[in-house]
Amino acid sequence: MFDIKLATHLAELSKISFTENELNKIRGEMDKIITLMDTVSDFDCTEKSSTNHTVRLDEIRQDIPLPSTPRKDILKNASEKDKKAFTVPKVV
Amino acid sequence: MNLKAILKTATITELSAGLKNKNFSSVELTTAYLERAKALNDKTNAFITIDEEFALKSAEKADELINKGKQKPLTGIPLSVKDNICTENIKTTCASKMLEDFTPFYDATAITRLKKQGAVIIGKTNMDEFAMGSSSGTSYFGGVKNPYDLTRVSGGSSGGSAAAVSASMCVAALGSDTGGSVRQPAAFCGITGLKPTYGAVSRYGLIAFASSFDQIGTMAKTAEDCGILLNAIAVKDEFDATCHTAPFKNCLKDMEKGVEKLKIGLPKEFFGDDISGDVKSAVFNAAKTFEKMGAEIVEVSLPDLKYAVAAYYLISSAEAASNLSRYDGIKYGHRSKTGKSYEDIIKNSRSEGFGDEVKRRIMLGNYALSSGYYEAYYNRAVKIRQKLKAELDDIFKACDFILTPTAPTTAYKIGSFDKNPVKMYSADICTVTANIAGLPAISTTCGYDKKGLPIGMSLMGKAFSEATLIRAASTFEKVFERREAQL
Amino acid sequence: MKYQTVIGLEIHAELLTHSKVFCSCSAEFGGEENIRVCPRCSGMPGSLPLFNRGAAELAVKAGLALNCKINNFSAFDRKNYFYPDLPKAYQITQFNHPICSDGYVDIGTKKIRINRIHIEEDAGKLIHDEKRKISLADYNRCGIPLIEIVTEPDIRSAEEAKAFTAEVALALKYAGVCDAKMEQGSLRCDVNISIMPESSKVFGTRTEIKNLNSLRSIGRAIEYEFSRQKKLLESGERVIQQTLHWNDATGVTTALRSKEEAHDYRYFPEPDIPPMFITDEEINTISKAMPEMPSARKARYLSLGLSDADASLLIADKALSDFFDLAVKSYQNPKSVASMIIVEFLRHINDSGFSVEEIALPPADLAQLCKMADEGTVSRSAAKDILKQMLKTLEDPMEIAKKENMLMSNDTSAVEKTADEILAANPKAVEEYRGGSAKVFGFLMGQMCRTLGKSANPAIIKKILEEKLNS
Repeated sequence: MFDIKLATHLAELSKISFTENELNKIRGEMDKIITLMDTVSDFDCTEKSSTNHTVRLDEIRQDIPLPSTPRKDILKNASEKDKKAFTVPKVV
Repeated sequence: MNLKAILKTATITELSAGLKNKNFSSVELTTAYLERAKALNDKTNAFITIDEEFALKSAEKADELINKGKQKPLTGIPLSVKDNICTENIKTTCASKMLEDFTPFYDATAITRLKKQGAVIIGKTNMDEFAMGSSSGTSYFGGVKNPYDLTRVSGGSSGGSAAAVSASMCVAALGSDTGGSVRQPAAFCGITGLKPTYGAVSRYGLIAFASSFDQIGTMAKTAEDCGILLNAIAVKDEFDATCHTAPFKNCLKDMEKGVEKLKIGLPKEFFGDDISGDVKSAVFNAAKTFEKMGAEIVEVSLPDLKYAVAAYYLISSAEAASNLSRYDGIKYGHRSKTGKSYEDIIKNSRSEGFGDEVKRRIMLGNYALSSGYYEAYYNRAVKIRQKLKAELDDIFKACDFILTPTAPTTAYKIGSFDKNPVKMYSADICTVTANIAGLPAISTTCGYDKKGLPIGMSLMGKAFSEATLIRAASTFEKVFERREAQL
Repeated sequence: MKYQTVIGLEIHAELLTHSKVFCSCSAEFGGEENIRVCPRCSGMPGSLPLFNRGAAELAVKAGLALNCKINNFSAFDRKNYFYPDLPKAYQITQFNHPICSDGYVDIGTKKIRINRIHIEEDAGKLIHDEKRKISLADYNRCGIPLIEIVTEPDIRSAEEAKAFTAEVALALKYAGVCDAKMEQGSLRCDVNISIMPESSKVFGTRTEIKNLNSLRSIGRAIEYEFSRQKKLLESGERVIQQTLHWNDATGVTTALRSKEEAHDYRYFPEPDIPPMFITDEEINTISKAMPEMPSARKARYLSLGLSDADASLLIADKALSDFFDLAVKSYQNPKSVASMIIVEFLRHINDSGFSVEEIALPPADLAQLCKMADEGTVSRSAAKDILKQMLKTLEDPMEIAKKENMLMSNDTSAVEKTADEILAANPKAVEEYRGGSAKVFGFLMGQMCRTLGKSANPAIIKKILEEKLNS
């Protein structure tokens, strides 16, 4: 059962705030979604799984620095910033 | 030359020939498409952004290339691009309030490839918010309407690209496919949509939804056109560690070979009770057509298909929850005006910036990953994924590709699932396996239902078998009588 | 009741790569805010991480230096949490498949086991502006490659913790993996600490002290936390599992996060980076390219004839030891060079307050000075003065000796003349010497030196004096 406590916990993990009505609504929707997801519960998990695709060391990028992006581009889409950095309310 | 009339049925190959023979210039062609796109956008809502200035500039450059004799297959060809693929200096919104004002300073690799050929990008197409959905109804900018019936959905999430091609607002388009988002709207809008093998096309610059499923796909009125686009963008990219060297240099090789001696599998699990009668019979008829053209039909089975939808939603939502955590209003994107602390600002920005479906997926993803649920959901889904991959590997030992419906029904009325969004998830049953296993699949129209709505069929093959799929779909298209949307 | 401390360490070390771990931005240190940032390390939509082969190779070196097993298969995971210094809102790290595991460090008194070494990315930096009540996010440090070295809970005291950290720092420096400058933050330490009655086998509830950046603060924080936990238990209270911050100024730990229970990092495999397979051959190649480690270097010094104490002293500072090696290269008299470095050079360094790295003196110059003293070109006491001058002006020792008139004369005629004069003036002493009293030789030598001054070679004086007396 997907209860309000779980909904509240997941909202916190998701960093989304809901009003009480919204929370009730999404709790109900999540309950239905989880019912669909519970299909996976009767899958037999005992079979050994296959191995993943891997890359060799020499396929990985070499350690060579390249120029960075101009700072004005990096900061371009931020709605609050100063000349050199993004700004947020002071965190402790 | 009456460009207006040509546009309605034009293919890339035809337009490219027209440009080469100087029947028209790219500027003229682009202008004609822009006019049509602008005129029809009120009806279809296919585009979020139409960038005339940029399109015409690109067309001018393309004309120069053509005049110099440097024409490539896509030089001067007007295309559109889904709005989750980053375009330098053109807004890229993901159809979300969150990225309403986001303008990248970089191009996705796929865009770089198109630009290299001198293609003309006329605009950015509408979609489900962050590509989450299969109706294009979750867009912050309003849903996309189906060119065959404006009261119906275009399908999604690449609904804008599908509708734009279907309504001849551009000749072809890029979409993205995470669980069917290229193929299903292609089916609903009566066009062809190709989801390449995972890793065939660089994901750099494709705004991530579910990283292990996402793949940029191509959409056009013919399989051949889809192939022309794929040839342009399927190149090994140093910018994406999951991008491979495609073994095909040209996915349009041996097109004249047809389907003779190909083995086509019909997996019975794809033809269950949830598939509508019209759809089933259209796909069976297509199978017969293939048979007549020399292919062999074999029955195959994918017993664990019943787990596919849940496994897909669990893993894709988990990845999405993580991928979408970066939207905190600080670096880019919607920043809430309310809230004093950092914590308040990110929560309010996300609550205001994301729509309901996105929130549901994030909640689901965090559920699947959170302590106490990880084993039962995320991990189990991963095991199902591996099992399905193995089952598909076996199937492709017995046949060249499988033939299935692309969607259980044809396009439904706008708002049908508003009250029960969860019900829509189950309808992804026909498409998610290709993404789960990272395999290529192409959807093309194989019939029309009683209301005249297009029905799509899907051909799915082993990794990097795009050439075979395109060849088979194209062979079918040549004998199939296509009906254009009347707009 | 008597309690014992149970300590496990997590050491974060910055890898000495040229570029960042998941993008090609330069991995330099310092500079203006947000000048070494790109779409990847700032988490721009659509960007993807690109792992750095150099980081993998350095991590393997670290594993070899710390006696670890190098895993052929390793993979990255995402650790999800929100903080303004973490632009993607997840840290890419290795959770399930670290690159190295099962190592140890011998701290002399015992072996401390290492559970694992994994690669991860550093976060950015927040600069707090009290006036404007804002924090400024600087992403230059985002994506600097780190390894995290995690020990088993084998450490039982502050001393052991310090010794372990010092050994690790030294090993990483020698391996060329990390410059291990704790004061600059390139090596930092988290301490997990719990206490239990001495007779007990069951660990108590642990706390984690974050980001200690000197050996001294590691020691002090452990001692403080031990007594804090002891006080709690003795007054019948419980230790709460929490993350603590050590304040070096006040000397106390304070809780860093109040909502510890809300932390659920939701680790899962990083889908943007394929797992990595390192072959045994590749590990061998890296192993062969490993620089000389402290223990091997010490053995080599002993074989050169250095004392155990001198050898230990030299290797304890890699820069000093490197200096010694270079000096010996140009003058093959290790004992003499070691003595000059340990007795004279080190004293000047300590007085100057600089580190060996900061001294620009060419090792070959010191070697030359050594040779000059050994060969009697200058006297031992002159050599001391010359070294002092060299450290100041970086001049060539020969130049200094010439300029200051410190070169010893090899002109024997002057010595012979003086010897004749002195012997003539001291017949009594001559007689005593010839009668068997060796004691007076020193007196006569002193007379000679005083008359001849600094430029005379004592060996020559001695030789001539002896000849004259014995003839």
